[in-house]
Amino acid sequence: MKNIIHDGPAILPVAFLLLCHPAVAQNPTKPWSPAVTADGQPDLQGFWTAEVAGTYDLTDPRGGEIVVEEIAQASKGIVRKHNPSRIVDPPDGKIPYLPWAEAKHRDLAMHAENPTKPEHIDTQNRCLPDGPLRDLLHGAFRIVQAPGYVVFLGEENYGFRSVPLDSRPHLGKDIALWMGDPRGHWEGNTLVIDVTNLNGKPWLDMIGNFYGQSSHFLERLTPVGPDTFDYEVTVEDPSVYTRPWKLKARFKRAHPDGYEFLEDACHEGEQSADKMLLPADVANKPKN
Amino acid sequence: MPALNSLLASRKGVGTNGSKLVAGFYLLAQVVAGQSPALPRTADGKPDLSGFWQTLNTAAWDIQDHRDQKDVPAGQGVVVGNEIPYQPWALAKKKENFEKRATADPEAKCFLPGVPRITYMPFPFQIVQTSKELTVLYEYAHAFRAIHVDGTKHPADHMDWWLGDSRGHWEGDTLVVDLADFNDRTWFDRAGNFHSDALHVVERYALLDADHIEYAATIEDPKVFTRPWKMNMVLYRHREKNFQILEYECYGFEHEKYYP
Repeated sequence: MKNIIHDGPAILPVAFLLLCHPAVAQNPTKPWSPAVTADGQPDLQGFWTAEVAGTYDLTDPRGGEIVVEEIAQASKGIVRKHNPSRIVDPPDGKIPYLPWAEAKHRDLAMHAENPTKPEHIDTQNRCLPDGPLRDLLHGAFRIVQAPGYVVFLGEENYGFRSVPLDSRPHLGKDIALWMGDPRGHWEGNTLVIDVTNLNGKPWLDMIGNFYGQSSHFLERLTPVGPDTFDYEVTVEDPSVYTRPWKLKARFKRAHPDGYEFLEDACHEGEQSADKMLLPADVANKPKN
Repeated sequence: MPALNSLLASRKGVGTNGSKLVAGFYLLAQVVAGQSPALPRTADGKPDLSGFWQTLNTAAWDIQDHRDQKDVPAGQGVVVGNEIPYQPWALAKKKENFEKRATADPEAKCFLPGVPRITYMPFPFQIVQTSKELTVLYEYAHAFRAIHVDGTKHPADHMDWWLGDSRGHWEGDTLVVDLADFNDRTWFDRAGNFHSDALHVVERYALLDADHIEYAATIEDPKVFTRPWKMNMVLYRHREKNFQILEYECYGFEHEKYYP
């Protein structure tokens, strides 16, 4: 097993943390003070979805269009409307991969439309957990708060994150998790979640942007209005990236009060991934 | 009230002083009403089931009495009276399931295991409790379900769900959960005990003390059984410091091979 680096936010340069601070990064007009829960947490409960939802490509989100169709259109010279990259740092909007990681990402992206090997298929198509970050950008989710915990429940592709708000240490380094090991705390109205113990398996989007087993996420959720919160996450992993990078997204309320999730069993009966493989590779397809 | 104060002091994870005061008021009310005051309670006075729970029985392998087999610990069953009142055809089907259990068990395919089976699988689960809902987070396959306690009803039409639809209410200090809207594809255990999509389950959660829940599930399915029957077991609270749910991403797909 590879070593998993266990670093809290302290390893990030102080200047970089300042850049992430909501006072610098967020709404300059007027501060919003949300209601508080019975145990005194700012109340983020309810259903949410990203303003530009979906995880087609972090650097070129499509706002609900299907990436494979767009790739085909692009090959015919059809220019489509771009949404800005979700990556806000570095300023070029690109994930600052190390050369080996850039090569791996390019290979995965090139095969996103026509996978020739099982490992070309997006982990989400296998109904494997989305991992932190993608679980929020993917589709609607729900936040439930109870004393000592903030819980994220996914509407699609069954999954949850249960974030303890105490100051307990992270798990031991030999425990690696699809959803990582989250530790939350409130800084004013901002929920800060420090995520370690990632297993590095879930893709970040449909075209194979990825992180590693040593990656460390620092997420910040800041309510900026009754129906809006801003999300930013800093990802750092010197074994994958040349420098830390930061993603931002705005979230809106997704469903009215009283809405209930339908069950979304995913793995049960899942066949699409194997159908994506080319016939020549059917012999190699994994048994499900 | 020194006795009440010590009870309050013994409560854990309740949050603010204000909520403790409210809880204290409810405790006093419960003493007056003759209810057990020793149970942990939420700010709204309900028994506090939040925390990490797990069974310590062998029902995952076989809900009935069974001897040891390879990779199967012997166990006293959890079925009251030990007999499951199958209709004749269904008893034959159960025996067939048992013979084919290595491949036919939905759990072997990593499918969601249904309720109450998911309760007594050998994985912990977390209950997150609010006044309107108890959300149950299972370590097995990141499954979760909402037990609505807000007076809402089952969906009007039949839903074909792996974990069913859970609607709860409090009867005194007991959480009673009515489950319907199941599919016919889950089993009760690895021994082939099964049901149809007419399955109706009533769960009961009653705290025995702060760390034990008396759990019962009444099983009704007129397509398969001749009468309702019942399982009883105890849920144990994980008291380990910093205990948390980890993951069992069931190996229904060879993810270790393709996503190393």
